[in-house]
Amino acid sequence: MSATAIEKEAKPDPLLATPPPPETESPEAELRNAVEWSDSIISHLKELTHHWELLQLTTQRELKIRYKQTALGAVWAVLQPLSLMLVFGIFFSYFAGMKGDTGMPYALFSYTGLLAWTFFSTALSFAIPSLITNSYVITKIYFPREIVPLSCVLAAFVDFLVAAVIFVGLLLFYHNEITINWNIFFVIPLMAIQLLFTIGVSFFLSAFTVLYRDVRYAMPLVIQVWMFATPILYSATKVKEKSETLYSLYMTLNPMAVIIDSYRKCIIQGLTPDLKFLGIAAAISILLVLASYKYFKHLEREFADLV
Amino acid sequence: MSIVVLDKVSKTYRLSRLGSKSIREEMARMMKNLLPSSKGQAGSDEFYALKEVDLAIERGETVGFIGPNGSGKSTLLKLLARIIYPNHGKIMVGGSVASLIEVGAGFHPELTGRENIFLYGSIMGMKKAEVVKKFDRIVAFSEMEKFIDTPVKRYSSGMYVRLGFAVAAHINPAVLLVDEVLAVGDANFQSKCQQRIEELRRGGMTIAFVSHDMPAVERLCDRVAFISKGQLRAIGKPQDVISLYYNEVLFAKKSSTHLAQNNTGLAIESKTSLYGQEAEILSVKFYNGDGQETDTIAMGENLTVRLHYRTYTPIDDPVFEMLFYSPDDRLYSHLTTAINGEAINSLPDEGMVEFDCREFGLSPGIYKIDGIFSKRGSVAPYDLKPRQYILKVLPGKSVRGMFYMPQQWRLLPPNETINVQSADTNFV
Repeated sequence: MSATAIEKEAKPDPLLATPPPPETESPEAELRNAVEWSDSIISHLKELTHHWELLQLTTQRELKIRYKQTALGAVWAVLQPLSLMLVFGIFFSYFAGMKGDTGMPYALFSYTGLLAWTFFSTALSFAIPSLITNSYVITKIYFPREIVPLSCVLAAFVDFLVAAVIFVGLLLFYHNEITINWNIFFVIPLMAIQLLFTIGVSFFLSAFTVLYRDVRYAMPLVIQVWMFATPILYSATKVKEKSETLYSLYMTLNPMAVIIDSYRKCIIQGLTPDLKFLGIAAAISILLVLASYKYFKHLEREFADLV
Repeated sequence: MSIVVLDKVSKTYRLSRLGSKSIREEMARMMKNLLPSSKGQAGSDEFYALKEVDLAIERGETVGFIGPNGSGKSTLLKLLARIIYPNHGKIMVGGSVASLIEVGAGFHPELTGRENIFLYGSIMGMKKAEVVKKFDRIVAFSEMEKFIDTPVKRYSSGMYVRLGFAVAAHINPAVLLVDEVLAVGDANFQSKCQQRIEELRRGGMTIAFVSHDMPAVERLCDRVAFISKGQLRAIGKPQDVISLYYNEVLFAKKSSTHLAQNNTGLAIESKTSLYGQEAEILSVKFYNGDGQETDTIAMGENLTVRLHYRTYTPIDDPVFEMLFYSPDDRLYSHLTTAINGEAINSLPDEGMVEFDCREFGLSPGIYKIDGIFSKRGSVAPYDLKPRQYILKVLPGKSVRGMFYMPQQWRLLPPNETINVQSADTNFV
């Protein structure tokens, strides 16, 4: 018994027989300064693209672990906005007599808003505590940390696309009552703006949560308030009817309001979105992403010490 | 050519600010700082995990880092791995770095072994195509073929670590950081891990290696750095630095208590002793190969011990014994004239008994020694000096393992009958 064990140990593993040569570095390769690692967004992005596969894998992981243990799996992605739509449809439309914009079935009207909002709120609720829940990796291995919240946002985006299948079904169902034209292609820049805005908020708040755990507990409340400050269950035109100045303030300060209002205009009503507000929302989103990315990378160095 | 350069690197932590805090605490802290009385204290709760460390690691070299717990070794590796950042100083690294700081740290319990190999490999910086290429080798190394599609949460901790090491051992960075991971798994897997590290080393990889396993450090490393209280105390040849480490850390602590009193009073009898009525042990002294009195010898060196006794009644058929204990009071060796010596028939009233060992076999460390003087077959000894004598052992003819044994090696000519002489260890 022991003799065979010794024999086994003594015999070199054939798989190990040829150690691979170490990564060949060009002799002129300079020592990189890990401390004063270039602080520009370009170099951060370069590093991020270098870890592209990791981002893909972590996004897949986010989706997998979320649906692996659930019986319904990806159906949950659809179920959330759909059930809300039914509930709101019954209470707000049927009982309270609330209406969408002219010529819009309420189901379609509310689902548009809920679909877009669910993406935003799911992304935030996973991304904001993500650095803390992933502390076991962050304190052990280096990789660009933005991958963590980013993969949460991307996973929520995949959910969003899945749930959009129902939306297409609704569009087909109501095709007689709505106007579909070339303006529908506005959804592509709209989704891009929403994605940017969501990433921007996620970067900032996930990093901020590492410093102050309070954020984690404040977030459900903030998301709820924000939801009511966004035209999801009601129409943005209602705000406009009340007061023009309030409306422009509302549309300037809340990019989510512009995004959801624009989705409805371009998909269901066949209208061009309000380009002035959309432009502002796009500008806010881009600036926010840049600023919060910079902030994130600035704080990143302390993550392992703080989480 | 250096591949890693540290230039006056310091890492501080604020004791009161470890971890994050709530906004309320932060406001309280700000308020406190506004008060003039507490202003000067800002730096007082700063703790230097590392202080002005200068270090250069050459390409292809294996450097071991040793030091007591909390000395900053792991902090240093984490700095090299870019997990944490220094407060002062520069760290320059010429190439990719992979860290085996905790194997399997990137595993997700819900995912299967297969999925985790890809995820972990990717976190460690491997491309997907590379993982695909090495996948079979990784699985074979981990010996986990059967369970590769099982979620890792069902794995035992040993399986977990095996898979983690298997992935980590197949990445191919310019610099590999290894922190105590060699102490994982069963003996068979451990030797496999060490073998793998050895191969990577021979393949020309630069390795930084933290361990408390001195024999492994001595065997694997080209140079050893000794870190103490956040500072680089010494760096150089493994044997020299390890000796220094033993001297400074292990022995310093003991000498302040046990040794001090023993140095001055090896022969002082304890007043409460029941022993020493009929005969007593006056002193026990150690001599090295050159015949000089010492309290420190190297492993495998010649050790002579002289036991000075005095008798007050006639004694026949006495037995002298020595028991070697580790600092945690485990008996390492019990040597007695009852077995190894010749029977002593007539004993002078006062005299010396000499113990001679040509190649001392206990591994490096500190030993507390009992001296016993008794009658053969008797339960109560004439004299017992419990843990009275201290012997320090330094690495010498060092090998891996628990102890050294005298040995002779030779190549047998063909057809010669096997007749290897054993070394003679008898004494007295």
